[in-house]
Amino acid sequence: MIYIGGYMADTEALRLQIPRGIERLIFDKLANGAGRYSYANEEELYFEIRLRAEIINAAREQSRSGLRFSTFRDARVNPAYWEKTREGGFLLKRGVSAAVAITDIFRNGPMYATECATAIVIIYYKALLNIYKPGLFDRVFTNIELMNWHYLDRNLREIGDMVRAADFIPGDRRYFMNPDVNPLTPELQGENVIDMSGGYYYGHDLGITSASEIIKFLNENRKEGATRSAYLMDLVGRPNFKRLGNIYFSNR
Amino acid sequence: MAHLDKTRYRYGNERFRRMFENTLDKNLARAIDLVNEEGLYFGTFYIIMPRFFEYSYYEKLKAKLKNCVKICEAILENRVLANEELKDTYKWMIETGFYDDGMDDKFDEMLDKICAIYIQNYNDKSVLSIISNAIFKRNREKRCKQNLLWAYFQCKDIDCLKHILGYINSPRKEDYLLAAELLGIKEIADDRAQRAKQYEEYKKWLQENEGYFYYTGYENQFCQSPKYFEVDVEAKYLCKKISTHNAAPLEPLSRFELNALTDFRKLDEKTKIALCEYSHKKKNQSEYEWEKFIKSPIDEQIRDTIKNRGII
Repeated sequence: MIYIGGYMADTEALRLQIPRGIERLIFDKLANGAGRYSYANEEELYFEIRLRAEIINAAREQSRSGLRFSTFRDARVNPAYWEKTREGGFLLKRGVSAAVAITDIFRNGPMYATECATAIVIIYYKALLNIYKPGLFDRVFTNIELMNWHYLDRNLREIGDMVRAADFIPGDRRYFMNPDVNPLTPELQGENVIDMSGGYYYGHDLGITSASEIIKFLNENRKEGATRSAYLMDLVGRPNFKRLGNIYFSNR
Repeated sequence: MAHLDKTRYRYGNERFRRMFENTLDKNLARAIDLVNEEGLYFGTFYIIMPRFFEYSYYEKLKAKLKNCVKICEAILENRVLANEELKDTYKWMIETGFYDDGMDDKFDEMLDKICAIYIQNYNDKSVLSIISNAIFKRNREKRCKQNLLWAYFQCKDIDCLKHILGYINSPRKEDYLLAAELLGIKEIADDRAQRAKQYEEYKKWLQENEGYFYYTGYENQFCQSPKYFEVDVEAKYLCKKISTHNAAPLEPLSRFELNALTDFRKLDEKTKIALCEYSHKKKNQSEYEWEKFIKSPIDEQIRDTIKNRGII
C-alpha cells in the first residue's frame, strides 16, 4: 500500500502517470503489496520506481557485458581504471572518473572477473549512473572499492544488509542459499541475484533465469552425500531509496 | 623443522626446489631419506611434490606423504578425499602448512581447501586457533581471507566465536575491527579499557547462552555483517540445549514442553525475548521455582516476567 505525505495515495490516479512496462509492474507491486510504502511526496515514489527499473536494466546490461566469473584470488580488472587489491577487490584508480570506470566494466566486460556479490554491487553503481549522469555520479562517488558487501560507499551501505520484507518487488536483491555446498567451491555457497520480475532472476554467470534453474545449478555443486537442497531465502536487500533520491533532487 | 625446511628457508623456494631435484636425480636414497624425515613442513613438501606424482618416486614416500600426494591430487582434480585414514595427514598439513601461508596464491588456495575439507569432515576443533590466527594475519596483510573464513565457520561450533573474541583486546586496530565485525559487535571502542569491558560483556553473553546457539549459515557473500550464530529463543525459554548445527534439541522434547512451545510461538518477538531471558535466569536461581513458572499458563508467565524482570 502506498502512502504519500502520511495519507493513503490515490493509486488509480498515480498509476496513469507511470509508464507501461517494468515501471508500472513495480508500481503495482508497491500499490497492491502487503507492506506500507511511505513517501514524502510523489517524486520520492517515482525515484524509487525509476531506480528499481534501472537496477533491472543494469542487470540486463551486465548479462550481456561478458563480465567473467572468478573467485577473489583470480579476480581481473582493466588496469587503466582499476587496481586489483590483494584481497581480490577492484579499487578505483586515483584521478579516474568513477563514471568512466563503472561504464568500462560494462563496455569491456571480458577484461574483468569477479564473484556474484561484487557483480551485484556493480549493478547498483551502474543503475545510479544511469540516473545521476556522470557529473553528479563522480561528485558523489569519489572513492570506490568493489569487494562483495565490504567497503560499501556510505550512500549504498544498506545494500549489504538482508532484511525481512512484506513483499518481494522487482529490483530487490535476493539470495539463493546452498547449505550443503562442495567445500572445494565455496564461491557457490549461494547466489546473489536481482529480482527481474515474472519469476526471473539475474545472477552473475548464470544470466537471467528462473529460480528452479538457479537451484538446479547450485544443487549440482553440493558436497558428496548432501541432503539439503539450495533454496531462495525470504529476505531482501534494498538501497536507501530516499537518501539516493535526495542526493538526486538536491543536485538537479 | 626438518633439514629440508631449513634448507628452503636459507636458499628460498626456487633454489631449494632445484637443489632437491638435483639430489633426487643423483642420489635417490639420500633424497628420499630427507623428504621422509620427521618434522617436515607441508609447505616444503608442497614445493617438491610434483616430482612425487610419478609412481616410481611416490612409492618410496612414507605413508603420511603418500596420503598428502593423494589429497592434493584429488583437490587439483576437484575431488574430495576424506576418510579416517587421512585425518592425521590433513591435520599435519594444517598445523605445519600455515607456517608458509602467503607463500603463493596457489598454495594459499590449497590451504583454504584443506581446511574446508578437514573442518567439514572430521569434527576436530583443535585446528580452530591455527585457522583463526591465519585469518587475522591475512587481514592485517590485506590478503584473501574469504574462503578461509568460510571454511572456519563450517565448524558450526561456538568455539569459532571464542577464538575470535581474543582479538577484541588486540592493540592492532585492524584486528579488533575484524573481530567486532565477525562477532556482530556494532560499535567497538578504540579505547583499550573500554574494549576490555566489551570483551567481558561478550564473554558473559556467550557463557549465558551456551547451549542455545545455532549456526545460521549466513556468510560474507550473503551480507555485510553476517550473524554467524544466533540464540534460539525457544531453547532458552525451555532451558533445553540444542545442536549448533541444526538447532534441533539434543534430547527429545516432552509432550509438556511441546505444548508449552505451542503457546510461546503465538507471542510477538519482544515478549518471546523477555520471557526466554526471564525463564533462563529463573532456572539458574531455583529449579523448583522455575518448574512452577514453566508449568503455569502463558499469561501468568508473562505477568510474572513483567513483575519480576528487574528483580531476578
